[in-house]
Amino acid sequence: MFTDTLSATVRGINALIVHVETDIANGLPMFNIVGSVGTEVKEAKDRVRSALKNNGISIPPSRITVNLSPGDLRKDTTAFDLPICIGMLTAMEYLPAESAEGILFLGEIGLGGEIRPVRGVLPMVMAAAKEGIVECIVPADNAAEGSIVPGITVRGASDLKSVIDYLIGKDDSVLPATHTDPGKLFADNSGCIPDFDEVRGQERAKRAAVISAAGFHSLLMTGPPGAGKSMIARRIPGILPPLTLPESLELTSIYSVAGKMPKGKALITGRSFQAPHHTITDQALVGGGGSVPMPGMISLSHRSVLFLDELPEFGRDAIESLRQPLEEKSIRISRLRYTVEYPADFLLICAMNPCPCGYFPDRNKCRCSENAIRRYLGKISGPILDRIDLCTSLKAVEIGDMTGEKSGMRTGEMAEMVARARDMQESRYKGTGYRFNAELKADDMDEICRLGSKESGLMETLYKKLSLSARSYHRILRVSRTIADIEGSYDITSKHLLEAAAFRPDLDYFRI
Amino acid sequence: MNIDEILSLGISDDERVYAFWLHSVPWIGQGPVPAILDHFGSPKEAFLASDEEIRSVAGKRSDLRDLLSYRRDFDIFEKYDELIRSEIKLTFAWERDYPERLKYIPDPPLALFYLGKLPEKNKLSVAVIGARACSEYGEMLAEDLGRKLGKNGVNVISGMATGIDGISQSAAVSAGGSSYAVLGCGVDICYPDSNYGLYEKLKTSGGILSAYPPGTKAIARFFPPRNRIVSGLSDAVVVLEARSRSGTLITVDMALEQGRDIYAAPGRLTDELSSGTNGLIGHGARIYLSPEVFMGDLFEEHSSILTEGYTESDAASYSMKPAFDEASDIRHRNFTVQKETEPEMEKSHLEVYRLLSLFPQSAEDIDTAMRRKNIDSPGETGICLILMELCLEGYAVQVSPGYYCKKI
Repeated sequence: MFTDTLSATVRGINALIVHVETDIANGLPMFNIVGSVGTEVKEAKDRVRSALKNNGISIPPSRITVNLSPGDLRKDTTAFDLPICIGMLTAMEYLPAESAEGILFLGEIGLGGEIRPVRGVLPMVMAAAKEGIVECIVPADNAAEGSIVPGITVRGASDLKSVIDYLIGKDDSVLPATHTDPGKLFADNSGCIPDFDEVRGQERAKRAAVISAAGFHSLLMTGPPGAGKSMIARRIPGILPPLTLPESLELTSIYSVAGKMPKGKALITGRSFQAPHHTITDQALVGGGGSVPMPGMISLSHRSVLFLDELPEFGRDAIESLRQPLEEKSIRISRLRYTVEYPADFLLICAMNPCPCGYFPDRNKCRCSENAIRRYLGKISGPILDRIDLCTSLKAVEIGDMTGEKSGMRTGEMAEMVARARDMQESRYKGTGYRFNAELKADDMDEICRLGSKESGLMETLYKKLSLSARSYHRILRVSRTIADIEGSYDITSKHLLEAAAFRPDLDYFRI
Repeated sequence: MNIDEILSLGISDDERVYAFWLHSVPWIGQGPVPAILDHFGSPKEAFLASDEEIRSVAGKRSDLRDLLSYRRDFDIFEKYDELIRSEIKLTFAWERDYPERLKYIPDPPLALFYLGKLPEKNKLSVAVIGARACSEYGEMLAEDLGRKLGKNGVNVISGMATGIDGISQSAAVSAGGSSYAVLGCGVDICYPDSNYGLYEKLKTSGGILSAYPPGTKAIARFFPPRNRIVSGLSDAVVVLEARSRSGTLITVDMALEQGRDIYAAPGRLTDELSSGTNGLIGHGARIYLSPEVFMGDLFEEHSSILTEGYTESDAASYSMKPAFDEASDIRHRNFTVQKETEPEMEKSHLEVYRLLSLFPQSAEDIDTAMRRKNIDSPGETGICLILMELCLEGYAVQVSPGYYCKKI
């Protein structure tokens, strides 16, 4: 007998419906799985056989063929274990053929029949809902994640037996549907990101953090060890506006595909913060590897913060590979047969010491030779430096700062400033395809960053006196637009331009 | 054998090629050359002598092997021709163009390879030296002194190292003056290569000198001996920044031995980079107060050099100060001690400007200083804006991201 069971597989952060066709025919006993399958799927054979046996179901000695269609789509996931199992049970007529009809199955099966979590449940359930499928049976651990999708019933199963029982009786109490309210998940999302008031002093750097978050400008902090560079970076997700539901679904899909969903969590509701160590490989950073390219750190920090501490220590290849995603806000990873695309719209925050010992320009502590400093700064890739909008330096914290009352800006007020600037940008960029000032292209800048005659004069002076390049000229304009937005000002004034110029990365310095 | 005895040998121009051979090996100091000349009487005789004889004269030296193998492996006439045809020039202590000042220092180099020119004997020369990893303070002092010396026609002598050396030399050349670099390697090698721009400029606006033959690699032990040439070519030595155990102090020792005046720029007691110079002042060095005051002293004390050129009597009585001669042409040299006048600007700008110094400060430092002095602070962002404007107006300079110094 021949049956067709529904399942799905992920491609990038999207999913495709896969038909699991099972045929049991007379002939020499054998069990074949075909349809561009990887090792993970081939091994399903043994898991399914043992799981059925251990649940008291014996497989008839006949010729079993399982075909995963579309056949030219490569499949590397253990999520086909459950649909293969169900396909065989219906083909064996152990289950009535119509009992599994219209239901999408996902899940890895253990030898005893227990159902284990799989990657990419959210995108797969989303794809199912789009195809008009009304019911999914997924591993119990993934049920919460899948149930976010509206218009589809998601049931979480923890063992094969309960699935069989449910399919026979269609009794809702055997495999109850999971319901999750995304609104509620967003509501209890608090207290995980530390507050900015714990950072003593460093008002300039905090200001830079606000500008960076407001206009999505990449930021480079220099300063001696222990000045608080990482502390500041760690707190930036807290001043970014809260994730919206579509953003959250996108981020959750990435996490789900990467298998990085925190256990028991249905949705990623907060901005993430990724701080890879400088020994990270380029694949781990941008994504890639193996037969199925996985999302890298830059995708995991989609719409969030990617923090590169000790920037000069990162491998050149890894840093260079950031260029395309920084421009295109996504990364395409090509394999011989196909290309996957992962979103990667991240806020790049970098930190570094000003010299090998970290104390330059305090010559009482720093004994690095000019050469050593030049070599150290020279390790930073020029093209990446070119994509950094803001640069600020931090000073070592003095004892007075640590014990004193002065704590300066708190996360709350900083977030308000960011929100104000984001509102300005949203209303300005409606229908233009832009989201943030950082994305502004030079062509549109004349219109959006219009300057008065006094300001144009100042820009000219800046251009000459600071010997700016065309690129850094535009950078200053973009940043000044954000500063004006933070202040709620429609016009860019001299004040905004000067502050943007003070935060400019001085390329001469980095290439002394 | 001292220098006078060597000079009295009357080595003729025909023997240059043999003298060149004697200096085809980088000697520390004069090496075995005086002993060889003493024994053979002339470079040519030495060249014609056997290996054993030279060995017996020069004593046991490892570098002697190089000298002997050079004679064996190369045609020295060809090598000499090659040198003459190149842009590298060569002078010997017994020749007319050899710098007068050098002749009378202890242990003068008997041969000098050079590119460009040799320092003139009727111009004043000052060695400006200091730390390689110098601070902004040192950088600014070096720039200021170099520029003003250059403008006033005083030769700047230094070692073309990074930091103080290179900065003062570049400033002098940029101001239209002349500068001379003494290298610890062959003159055909630019060390450090980061000063390549300066190296090229010195070929036309001064010179590059070395006691080592072309092709000599930059090796640490070759550097201290060149310092005696730096101070030897100068009428005064100015140390702008040095740690208490700095290589710069080697030059100072040499200069003292040679009877040169030492000037040291005072610094803050808490700055390590000034501990060496402050220490020198403690030991009796003269205080370097400003380029103007320094040049005032210099022109006053060495006025005869400008009128008559550097003479043997200068050498003999270097420590004796010639009387100030009203009639000498120093009056025509127009330098005034500039009083620092505050530029005209807004009050808020002036308050920030006054707090700026030659030591790098961030907006936060200035904010703290303002609070301490009970001056109304415009906040760190406000200060940053003012600093930016001061930079644009040329009153301040950003030395590293977020750090500013006063511009002098």
